[in-house]
Amino acid sequence: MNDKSPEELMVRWMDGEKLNPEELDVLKKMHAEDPSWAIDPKEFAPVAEALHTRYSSDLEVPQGKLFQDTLMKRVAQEREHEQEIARLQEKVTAFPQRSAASFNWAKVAVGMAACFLFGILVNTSFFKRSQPTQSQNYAYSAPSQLQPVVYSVHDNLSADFLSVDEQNVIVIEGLDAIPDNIDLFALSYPAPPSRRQPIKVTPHIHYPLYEN
Amino acid sequence: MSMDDPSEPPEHDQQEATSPANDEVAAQERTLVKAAQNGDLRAFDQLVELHRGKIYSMIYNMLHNQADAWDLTQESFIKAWKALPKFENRSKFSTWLYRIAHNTVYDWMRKRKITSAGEFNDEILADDSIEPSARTTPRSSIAPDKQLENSELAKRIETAMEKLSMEHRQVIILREIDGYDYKEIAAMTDNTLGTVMSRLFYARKKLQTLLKNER
Repeated sequence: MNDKSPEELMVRWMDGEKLNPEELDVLKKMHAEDPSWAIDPKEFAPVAEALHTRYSSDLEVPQGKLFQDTLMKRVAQEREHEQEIARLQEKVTAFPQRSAASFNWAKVAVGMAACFLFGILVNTSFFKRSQPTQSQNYAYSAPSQLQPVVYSVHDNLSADFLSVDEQNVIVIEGLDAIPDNIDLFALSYPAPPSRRQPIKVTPHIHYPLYEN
Repeated sequence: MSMDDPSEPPEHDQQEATSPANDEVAAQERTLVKAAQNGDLRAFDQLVELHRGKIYSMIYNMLHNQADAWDLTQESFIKAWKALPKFENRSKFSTWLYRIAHNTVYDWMRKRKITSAGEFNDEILADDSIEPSARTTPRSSIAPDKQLENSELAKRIETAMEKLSMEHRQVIILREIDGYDYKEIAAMTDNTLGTVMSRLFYARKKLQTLLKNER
């Protein structure tokens, strides 16, 4: 007994699947009732070809190396954050076990302190711009001659510096998003919001991601 | 071949069968996944390199915006890293990854409340801003008149695709462009097989109608 819908049978048939006689009868019946319901594979073939002309299934990510390094930096920070939480949890659970006989009253205080510390940890990690931290597993080297200096009239920017394949890339965050309705061909640049002097935006230097 | 004689389906290329080479690739990928689940960043780095092109392509084909596709591809991999301990190897890693990317795009579009037409297309910008090795620029080896024809057809298909709903656009991309089978598409989009087939049918029908009307 056929349990497939007419639409499913039509799609399978178009894609080259052999249907059994019962399934074919369903398609014939649908076609007889409403000829416009069916999709003619001959008519759809150029559509499929046009789709392959216009779209690709394996584009290269623009600035692939930068993409990779930026992503792995975030993943490394995420991993470090998870490890810190795990260490904190371990300390919180270990302390009451060691001193359970004598310090029952301290369990409440320890629990409250742990919650307070955890809240601070979450707050600094998720609600503020993450700062690079040094871990004992990573080597840190920041040749001073490579350190760039960024100036801006805006005081709400932060900058990251990446050294990728002997190329220096400065990633500036905090700029306003470009609106979708912007007319790029009619742009005129307004004067800066104030005439204050440019201020220095000191980039953060990033460490190698893997152990040496 | 037509609906008058549906006993003979249209001819198509045979699908690639499982080969020892594919099995070896799958085994290597499982090793990388397991290592990444144990916290190995290098293994995850390699997994990203293997899959970033396809994930980026899927998202870019949906949004037609390089910057957004770039950001959402990053977000997808970050979410994949966080969810990696829960991956149980019951499906292919790529299928699982696509599902994360699909959900990421959907969440982002819901927040942006993007409609199916009228989005800012960054391809109006100069082509020389695109990395030369990127495949987003058309090849120059095709004859000029054929290029013009292809270009016009490409614009028409793009206009027609923008008129599809996001759900219909996605099944068309996953099936016609990326070549996934129906079950994989159902797993990636978290839908039943019946829903996927129905959407595929109506998406194809609508595309055909739109392109016919524009001639």
